[in-house]
Amino acid sequence: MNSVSFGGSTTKRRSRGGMSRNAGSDVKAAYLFIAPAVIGFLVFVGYPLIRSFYLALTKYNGLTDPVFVGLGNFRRLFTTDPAFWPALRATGYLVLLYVPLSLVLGLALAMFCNQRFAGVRIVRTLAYLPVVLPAVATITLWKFILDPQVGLLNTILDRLGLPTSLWLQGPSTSMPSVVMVMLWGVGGTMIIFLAALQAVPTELYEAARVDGAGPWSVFFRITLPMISPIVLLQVILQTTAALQTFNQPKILTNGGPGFSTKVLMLSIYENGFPTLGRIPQLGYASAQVWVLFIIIIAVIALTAKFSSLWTYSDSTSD
Amino acid sequence: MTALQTEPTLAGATQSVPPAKKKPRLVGTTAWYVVALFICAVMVVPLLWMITIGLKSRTAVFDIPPKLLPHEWTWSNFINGRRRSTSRNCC
Repeated sequence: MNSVSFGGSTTKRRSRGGMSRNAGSDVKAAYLFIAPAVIGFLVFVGYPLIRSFYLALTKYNGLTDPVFVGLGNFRRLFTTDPAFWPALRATGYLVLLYVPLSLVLGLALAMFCNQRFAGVRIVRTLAYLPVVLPAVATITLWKFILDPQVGLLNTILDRLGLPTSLWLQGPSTSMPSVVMVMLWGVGGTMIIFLAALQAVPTELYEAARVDGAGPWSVFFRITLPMISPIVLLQVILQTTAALQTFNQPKILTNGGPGFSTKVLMLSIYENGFPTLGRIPQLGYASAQVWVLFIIIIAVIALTAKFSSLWTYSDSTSD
Repeated sequence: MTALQTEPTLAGATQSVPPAKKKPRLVGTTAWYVVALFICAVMVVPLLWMITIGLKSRTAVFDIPPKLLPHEWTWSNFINGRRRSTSRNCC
């Protein structure tokens, strides 16, 4: 596929031949070994998946038996529900804001932490620290920090003579603030990029240095192509996670002000598990879950379809 | 983790290949550590803030403007928090 070849085609052919020789006798044992995982998957993933699809076609409050309504939930979702389109818009805004920033910052941080300098381990550890802390505690903390009156951030900005902001309480700044809190956990992205950077063969950098390549052309012609499969992985993982964001909007704003941060997951949660006194609409929430599920599948399928245009595939690596 | 690979030279960060000129290296190193300090601060200051909030009394948390260190150091939050989380009928 690519012009770069390390003579991998022969090794590949040989190993494939070895596989087929042993494959027949090991099939039964293999099925036995994967049985626990498959049974667990069917019971804990397969059944709930089918059950939620059935519930999506019913009216169900969690107490009495579900009543079959066909596609009524979906019709209500797309035509009459005033909260659905704003929720979809908020989710899209969050994804478009979070995913690129997370990738760029994560890669920049990884490149920074991939250098040799005294104290690099400290920087690496601290950058990863937010990821290992309990999410609810740190998000509550950020709610304090971003408070317009008593918050730390506005105080610091004020002391420095910089303009302050309403952060979570302003209709236009609420979503960027939520994304900012999410980006505090960019260490998770960083650690995967760091592993990818360290897997790039050193010879390529040495060759580039001999050829007199500058830092920018080294980055765009060696580093970026070599880690592009990991970039693809990160795009898929981060997009999936961002589409399912729940913790940050729930704790920081609970969807407000207005509908500005009411993402799809939050709206699903509120329909399925509403505040006391309102009837749970588990059937309707299941229908929303399925819409989100299909959106996620579609986004991943599109990303994967066009990935061959910009990812470098090494014929020897598999 | 152990076998770190040499990256393209970035402002005096690598030891194996020293940059040609001496002077930019010092400036580069300083800038490098400024960035490193900034990253550390962004990651750690919120956590330190969490600890100092924990040491403040209930009213001092909402002081305007907020103070970095508590006026009176209150340890009861930690004691009460522990007691409440271990007692049977909490919340």
